[in-house]
Amino acid sequence: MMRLKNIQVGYGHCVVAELDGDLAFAKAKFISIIGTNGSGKSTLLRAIASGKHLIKGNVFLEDKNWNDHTAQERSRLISIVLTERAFSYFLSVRELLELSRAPYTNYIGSLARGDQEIINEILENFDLKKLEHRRAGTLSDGQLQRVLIARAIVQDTTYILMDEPTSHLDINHKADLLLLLKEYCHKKDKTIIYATHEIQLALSLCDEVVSIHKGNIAHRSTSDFIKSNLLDEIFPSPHVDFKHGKMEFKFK
Amino acid sequence: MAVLTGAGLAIAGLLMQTLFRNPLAGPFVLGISSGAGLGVALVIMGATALGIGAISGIGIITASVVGSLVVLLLIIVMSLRIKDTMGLLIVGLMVGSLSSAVVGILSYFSSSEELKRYVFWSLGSLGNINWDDLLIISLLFFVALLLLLWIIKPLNALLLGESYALSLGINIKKTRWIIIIITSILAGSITAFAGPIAFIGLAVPHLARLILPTVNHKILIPTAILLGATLLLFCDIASQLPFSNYSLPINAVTSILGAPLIIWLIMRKRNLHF
Repeated sequence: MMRLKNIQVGYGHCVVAELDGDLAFAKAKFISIIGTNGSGKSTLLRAIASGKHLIKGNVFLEDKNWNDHTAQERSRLISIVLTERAFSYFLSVRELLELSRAPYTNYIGSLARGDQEIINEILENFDLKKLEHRRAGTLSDGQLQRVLIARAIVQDTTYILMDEPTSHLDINHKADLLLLLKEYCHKKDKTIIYATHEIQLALSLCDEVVSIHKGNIAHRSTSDFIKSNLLDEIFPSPHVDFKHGKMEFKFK
Repeated sequence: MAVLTGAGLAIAGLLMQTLFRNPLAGPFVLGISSGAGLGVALVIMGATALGIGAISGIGIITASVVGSLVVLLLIIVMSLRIKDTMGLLIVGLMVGSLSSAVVGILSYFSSSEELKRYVFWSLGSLGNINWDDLLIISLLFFVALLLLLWIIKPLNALLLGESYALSLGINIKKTRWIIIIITSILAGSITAFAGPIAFIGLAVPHLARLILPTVNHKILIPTAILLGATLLLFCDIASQLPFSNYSLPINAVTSILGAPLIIWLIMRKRNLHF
């Protein structure tokens, strides 16, 4: 269980979003974070993953405060998919995944046979087998996005945070990938929390929704979230209509 | 000596490129060699001014290591504030010209004897070294290699970028410190003895990446060591001007060979990665 308590996230002393009270993420849940641009979705994810941008409050992982875990324990509990791409473009897809086994390898980073098997399985599942030996710099944005998601899965953590994992992907790939991730969550007892702008997909697939609206972080089951009618409030537009969670565009 | 110098500078360049995630980083470009040069200049030309008298050997090494350490720390502090790696290179360049300005002022006020000694040092030489010096360098080189072994895994993780490395449980601060120490030891001690040798640190890691199918430091480091050693040995032989009694300053030779090499690399690959 991951628990957030009275947290404020932001930059320096500037609070972007805050949570009044408690919030808990159970295991085997597929959760989305919904909010407008700049509402603090990425900041919240980064705060949980790295401890940076956490101005106030506590994050508990498995009943232990974030800070009381060692860096290695954390690296086996939380992985993240970021929108930034600061890695070496010389890395091959396979190398990128191999490096992500770091929390489990010895001091020099040698991979055991078990590590290789995990990587092979995930390459297969994410349809990356063909790209295995391609260098990151030669991949398309969409392919790279799939690699980065696979990278987080390879890290094999209880909680996987993703910042807009479906950006750069075609609509069919978006649907396939999210379904794959949801199945992965439920089958392997993992929790995925992802920030997204794809409202329709999130509402049809996610178990729970975290909404960030006017700086307030709230957490509901997806059906409660749809009932709350918050969607019209978060995304007010005369051209978009949310009826029972079905999004519709209206243009005259 | 050429072997140790080439290998050491190649390692220093490789570490800088991985740490700063910048293909242009290297002990020379980032002003680390200039820092070492400033340290040496202060010792050679400043010592008499302070009435200490001529200093040699250990004094010059210490000054050189301290000089490169100071510049490196300065650049690290800047890199925490400047997120843009391009800005960092400009800072390195500025530090370099600042050092040479101070060196210029120092030389203006120093005697011709000291000046000559500094100029000869700055042209680079692999010849004026006795066995004791070589022993010191070998020892420092060995220490650097041991430290290097300790950070192979973090170095590889850094290839994913700092955020991902952090999420993999890598202690970035510690790694950064060890990289700084290794680079200062290597670049500092080598520069102290052989003078500021350009291009080896910058070019060799790129050559290694070009011929290898991987950027894994486990393979990249030994390759860079071999390539660096071979390349500088070759430059050293070339600088002796076969069939004549003259020998060219090593720094001129590495620049004459190194500059076109870098240009060729960029033309061929169109872009360089770290």
